[in-house]
Amino acid sequence: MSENPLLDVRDLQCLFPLRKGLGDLARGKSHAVHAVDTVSFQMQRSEILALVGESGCGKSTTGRLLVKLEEATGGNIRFDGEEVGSLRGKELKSFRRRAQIIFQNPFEAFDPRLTLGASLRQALRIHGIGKNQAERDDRIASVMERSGLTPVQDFLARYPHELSGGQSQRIATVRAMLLEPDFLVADEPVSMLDVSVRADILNQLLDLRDRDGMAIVFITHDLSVARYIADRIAVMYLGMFVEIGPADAVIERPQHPYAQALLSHTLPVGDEEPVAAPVDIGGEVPTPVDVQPGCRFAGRCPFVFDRCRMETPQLKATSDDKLVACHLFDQPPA
Amino acid sequence: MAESLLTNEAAVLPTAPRRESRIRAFWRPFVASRMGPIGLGILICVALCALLAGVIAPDGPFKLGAPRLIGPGEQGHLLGTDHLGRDMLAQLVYGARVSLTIGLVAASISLFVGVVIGSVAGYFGGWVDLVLSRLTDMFLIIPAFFLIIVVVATLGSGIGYVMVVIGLTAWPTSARLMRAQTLSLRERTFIQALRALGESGPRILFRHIVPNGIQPLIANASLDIASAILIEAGLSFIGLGDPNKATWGRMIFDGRTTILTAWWASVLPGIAIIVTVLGFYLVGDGISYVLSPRSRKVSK
Amino acid sequence: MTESVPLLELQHLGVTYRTDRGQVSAVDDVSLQVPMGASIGLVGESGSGKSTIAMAILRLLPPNARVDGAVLVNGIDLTKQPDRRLDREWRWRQLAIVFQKSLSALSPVHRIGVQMHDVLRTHEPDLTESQRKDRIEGVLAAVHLPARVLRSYPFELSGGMMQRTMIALGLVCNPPFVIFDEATTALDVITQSQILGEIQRLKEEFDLTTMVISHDVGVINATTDIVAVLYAGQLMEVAPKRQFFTAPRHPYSQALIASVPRLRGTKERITGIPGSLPDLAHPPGGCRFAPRCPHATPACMEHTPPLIQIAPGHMVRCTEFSMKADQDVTA
Repeated sequence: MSENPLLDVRDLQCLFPLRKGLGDLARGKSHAVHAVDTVSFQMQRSEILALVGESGCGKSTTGRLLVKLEEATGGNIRFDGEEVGSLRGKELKSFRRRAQIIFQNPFEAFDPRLTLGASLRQALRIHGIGKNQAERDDRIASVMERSGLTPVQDFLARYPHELSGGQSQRIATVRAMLLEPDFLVADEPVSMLDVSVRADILNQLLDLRDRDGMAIVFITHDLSVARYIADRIAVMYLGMFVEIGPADAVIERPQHPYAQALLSHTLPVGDEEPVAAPVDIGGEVPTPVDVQPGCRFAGRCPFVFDRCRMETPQLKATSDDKLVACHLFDQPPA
Repeated sequence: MAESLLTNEAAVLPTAPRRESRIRAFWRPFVASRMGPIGLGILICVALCALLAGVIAPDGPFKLGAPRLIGPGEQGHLLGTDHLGRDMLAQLVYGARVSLTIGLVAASISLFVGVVIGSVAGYFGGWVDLVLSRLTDMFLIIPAFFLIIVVVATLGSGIGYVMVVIGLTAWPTSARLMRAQTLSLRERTFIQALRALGESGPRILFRHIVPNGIQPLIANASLDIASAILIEAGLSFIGLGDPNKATWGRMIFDGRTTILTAWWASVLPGIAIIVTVLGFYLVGDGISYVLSPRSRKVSK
Repeated sequence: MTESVPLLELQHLGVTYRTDRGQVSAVDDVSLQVPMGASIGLVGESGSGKSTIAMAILRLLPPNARVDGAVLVNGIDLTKQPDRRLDREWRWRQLAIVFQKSLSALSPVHRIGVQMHDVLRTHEPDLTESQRKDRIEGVLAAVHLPARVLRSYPFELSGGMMQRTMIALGLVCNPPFVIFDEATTALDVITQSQILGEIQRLKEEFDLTTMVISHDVGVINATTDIVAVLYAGQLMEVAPKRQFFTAPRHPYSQALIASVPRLRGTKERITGIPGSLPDLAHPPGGCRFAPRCPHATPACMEHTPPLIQIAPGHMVRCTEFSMKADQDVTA
């Protein structure tokens, strides 16, 4: 644990209540989807943390919680020492300037009725950056040039539907960067892009980390992409972190059974052989409604034993510089 | 054509995209709908009549002196005269002004109120939505025609009252439509992006959600205009319309006793109403056609 | 290559759409041979025409599409067959397809069992009810689906179960040839890998010839023997899988492979391909990849190079190789 993390997340929780049926009302029960449940981690500047998992694991919700597009129902987030949950008004606005997000769908990232120039200028105007139009345009031009998006005026005059997905996504990143944030959430930014244009975005994010000291949370379901871009990887399952550690350590030596399964099922490209035969886990990812105590992966885990069904495992340090939430690594000394 | 072969620029713009202005992007499918331009043509004619009423009938609609109930084409009166000897053509073109005014004002009120209430309800949700939706439901239950009769009976039959009351009873449909549009637009990526950028709620709502969601309401508005015209005609027909105005409905009312002997007194304004209402319906259909690409067949 | 007739052969297949923007050339001069029992992968990005080819094979294109060239299945040209005959004899019985968005491929208001019986009744009307029942149960068992799926509605099934249902539906008439059009793209990592494994098994069990269409080179790697690379409607390279991944010859194939990050091994900086797809309503003359190709020459922009065989089973469409071939001939 470091002294002054940029981002300090403790026991973050986000429950979405479900509508009560008549039977439930009669019994006084309420149901909720545990989208994110007790997630804790820290982030420094100049680092990229990948949140990896399959659909329903809570990675997108976590990303949205971090930029306050979603309100947490439990736990807290401290950004640069300041508690984020209680921010309102002007303070909230200045938080938003420092914590930005880019989304999965590049084709819908901008208001279709505005030119890109208008959208970019709007970002600056919201925060009163630049004293006049000319200054704002200068700033936009310099960020676009730095990202290799020239001729600048051509791009700014276009409407969103006139661009390709890759160009759109890069301009969406430019829009976020105009505010000079310290922290960026990238929610599956390349999933909807053709393979040959992904490199540009990924390399652009790496540049942001190296050149501008950006802290980035990169959300993806693709482990190869996570390995390429991240310093650390956190594997999520049903709203919880099951394993978090340096990227190479998680990829080469996954310890949590779910992480192992995920890696063994990731399709290799070309010559690389999968490490082991794919781990056979049955069924599909359930929805995290009304979870019971005990490990959420117990129903599908090949190594399950009694304690797994009764006690929820916590993230504990293992010898490999990782944190793993699994009772296999938490056995009392013999 | 002048493209460099070696493009290390990672961001070369797409080859020659034909930039279609928004107007053309609307106009082309509108023309293809075939109904739209016909309706538009009709409405342009009606509007011209209304605008040029002073030129077509310089003596105004109430000039007396001509023989009563003469038929179309007789004695210089192109469409005949009514039971008071007033020229039919003059009344029709002045009546166009009134009808169009009523329609446009009523529909504008309905659109404005509906957009504001619907978008606020949809965007803010929670108890705001609850209250506004129930309000909308309440107004939906009110039968416009009877309310108007009550208003006219108590406050008098000025055309202003009629327009306002029609507008205030027609807005629930627009509100529901706008609320549905808002609910779906609220989740779109670019709106989320604007929230994350720190844009304020009201600005997001009125500068981004409403402009992007309003198109189906425009199609609906043309129906509102048509229905306002019909309501006014109905009011006038039962004698509750403004007696000082030359409205088509009042013309039908005036001519009802002589309908078998002097058909033109009632039938001509009736045709005027039908044609105008049809015009608005067709334009509304044309707009709907533009908005639903799936209903359009692929061009041959 | 082989002496026997290939199960599927595309000869100079072209598809052009009449749109209000003009003629869009979605597929241009694609020639392929798929031997019986092989598994061919069509890999390409958006706009490559790969799905259009699948639709052209099955003649499921919209009315404004014009098909040129020939599609031969067991030597018979499908483009010349009347549509009713295609339905009776070919679709589902000789050729089947599994789509990506299965939820929209099935009727939402009928149970799965009803829909499966419906398919069998239409395409194999001679079966009795109990024969149909046996066939359906057999095919469900082959894809590891429990019988209760038959009583379910499509929306009740998870993504993985839906895809398995679609695969079962595709196999229910025992076709020798099945096309998988991005069939696992919408699935989670683990489910996708499981289903791909099952497809491999089914291929052996039912002796299938398959065509796998995907933008994901990992999927192509896992399921195919032959890889065909498409760009902007043109076939750029066809090679045995091993050679495609270890020594691709076409610049586009090379760039494609270089743009995919590896899960293991040395971490190398990935590169993208600058520029973007040509406007298919006004396709460039010559090689369609030339505007983005690092090795392009003026000749590339003028003439479309032909597909040339450079090794057994390995074809490339690139001026570099066709010029060399010309030189070899004249030498």
